[in-house]
Amino acid sequence: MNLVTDIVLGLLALASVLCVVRALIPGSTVDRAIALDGVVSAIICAVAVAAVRTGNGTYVDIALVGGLLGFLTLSTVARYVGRRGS
Amino acid sequence: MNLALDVASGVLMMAGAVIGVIAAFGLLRLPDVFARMHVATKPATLGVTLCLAGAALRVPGASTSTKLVLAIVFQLATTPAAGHLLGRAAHAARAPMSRHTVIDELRPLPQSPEDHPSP
Repeated sequence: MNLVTDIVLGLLALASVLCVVRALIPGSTVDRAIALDGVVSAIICAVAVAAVRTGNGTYVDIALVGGLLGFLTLSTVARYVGRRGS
Repeated sequence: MNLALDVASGVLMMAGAVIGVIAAFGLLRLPDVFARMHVATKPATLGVTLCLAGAALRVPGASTSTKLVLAIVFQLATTPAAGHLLGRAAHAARAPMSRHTVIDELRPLPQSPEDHPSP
């Protein structure tokens, strides 16, 4: 099981690095918000996988809060971009 | 029984992580904002769901599994709404579209041609 969680955590790290690269490339605000939301998704997954790996479920609350924060962030950015555009 | 749980949980988590990596490559490669948004909301629903479901099978304690299921439900409820909001906002901000775009259902009606000078 440790090998599987290692591989999964490595893949999630690769995904977040690619998302950060996307956010660093010059682009629109929406692009960058989407890319950083990808990092949030990877963090949510990684917290759950780490709970499996360590056998300690204390940090699973972070996954809940991360989901809430991701939604709040995206809707705030959407509000900002839509207002500026119209 | 324990081995079956291990295998199911490992397969689910691996599938979620692979979907996340594919979507991250899509973020780098796809041509315009709307296509990238399309590819970014898939791992946020399917990938996170698979990953958290795999973890919920294997994590110690029923309360922890319940929290993970709650996180899945929340993710499934909020991500499409956030993607919809962002898509509308990007369209209102006149984000450029790829030349492969087939249909733009949010464009202004043709009765007001001064709204969008280019056809």
